Amino acid sequence: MNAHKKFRENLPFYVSGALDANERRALEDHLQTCAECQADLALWRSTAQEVTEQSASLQVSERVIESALGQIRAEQRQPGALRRAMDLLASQIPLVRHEVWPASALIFLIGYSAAVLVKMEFILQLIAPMVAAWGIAALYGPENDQAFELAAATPTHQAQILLARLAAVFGYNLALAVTVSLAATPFIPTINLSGLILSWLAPMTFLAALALLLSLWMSTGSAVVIPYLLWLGKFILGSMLVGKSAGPVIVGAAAEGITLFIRFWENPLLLFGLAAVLLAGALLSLRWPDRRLPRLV
Amino acid sequence: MEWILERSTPEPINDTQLLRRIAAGEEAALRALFEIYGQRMYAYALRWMGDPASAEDVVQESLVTVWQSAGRYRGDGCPAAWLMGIVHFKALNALRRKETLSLDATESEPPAPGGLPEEKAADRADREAVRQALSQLSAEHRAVLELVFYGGMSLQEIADVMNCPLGTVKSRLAYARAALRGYLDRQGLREEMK
Repeated sequence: MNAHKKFRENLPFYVSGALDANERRALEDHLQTCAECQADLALWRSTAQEVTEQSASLQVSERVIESALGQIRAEQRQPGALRRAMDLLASQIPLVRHEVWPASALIFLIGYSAAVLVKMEFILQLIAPMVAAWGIAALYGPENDQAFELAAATPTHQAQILLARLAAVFGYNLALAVTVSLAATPFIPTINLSGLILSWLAPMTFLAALALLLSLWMSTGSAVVIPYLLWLGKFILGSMLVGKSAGPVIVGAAAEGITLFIRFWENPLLLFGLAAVLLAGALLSLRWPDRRLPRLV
Repeated sequence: MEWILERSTPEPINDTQLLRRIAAGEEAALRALFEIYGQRMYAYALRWMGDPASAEDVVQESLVTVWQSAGRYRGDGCPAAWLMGIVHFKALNALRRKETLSLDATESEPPAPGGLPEEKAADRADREAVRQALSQLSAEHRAVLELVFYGGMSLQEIADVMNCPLGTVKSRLAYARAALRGYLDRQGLREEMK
């Protein structure tokens, strides 16, 4: 770099005292012979004097530090994110339709008893997704209900309310399903616990997410019927495809379609992925107050 | 040399210790930091914001951020530059919010140095000319001068505060020099024409 340019760039820092001893000496030598830098030095001196005098005359109020400390203390008093989430979850439990809790438990109890009596884990596999879908379908309707009004009056975002309520009901049904699966294990010799849980967990998650979306877009009734038809269809169509004595009832292209449909229910990754998409769709649709599809039921 | 400004730069080690105490949750340490740097933070914020109330808000937000993030200060680099970098960031954010809120506000006038005391009657004409020249500079050029002369920072420290390359600081200083020189020359021409 041109030495003069370098010295010229250093001039403000020379005035401010930020140069080291070597740089300072070199610049002072240069100043002896450079009229342009001498003129610039005078300019920077005047500027520095004005800037420092202006700034030194400023008075910053003590209330700034007091306000900052007040803000810090107020933020420290606020509960943490986990505590807020737990409070929100707890606040939603009384707002869910009261019959959901005992009804879910009763269905699981009946299913458990039947599975143990006939020694068929298939019954547990069948009921877990159905109970979850019903519970979620009853969470929220497009119609304004008391819970919706209450939620809308709180400063918490509507999506957070919905997620909290979803977590409460889905978590409850999940706990019930795991409990009955565990409790059935000693009584059904052929049971494979991890296989059994996987066989209902992925369909349960998918059907719950579908029920949520349908309950927001259509009605609680539609949100129950459509997932039930899909889930029961798997078993009914499956039995038609695999006839016992007289051979398969359905063959050809229809049979291939049914096979694909049944495989869909046996693909946990696909089911979890679709459940995530449906859940995201349901949450995003909350911004759309006029969402309506024809109700089937 | 008489030309060099006299300024008192706090010992870096003390600043680092203060930041450690702040990170440990000691309010007295934050007060001490404010005692040392409050005015410098305010002066820098004022150069950007243009009015005392907004500048105070920026300093307050900066202090809260210092409290929250003092534990993340690793001691590599000057604590003052780290601190002023926070003020710089907060001031730019506040300016963006301000611009969003008042789209129809007239912004042609450069920010006046608010909160300044009345000048003394004995001030010379060239001092007034320099003051006028400074008031013509944009906030970013005025802010660089603040860091150089009132902050006493090196080129690298200013680049750290403003989160920009060294070349940008150099070009802002060159622009400020040319603008000041141009303004003063024009003033000189006018005087000659009288």
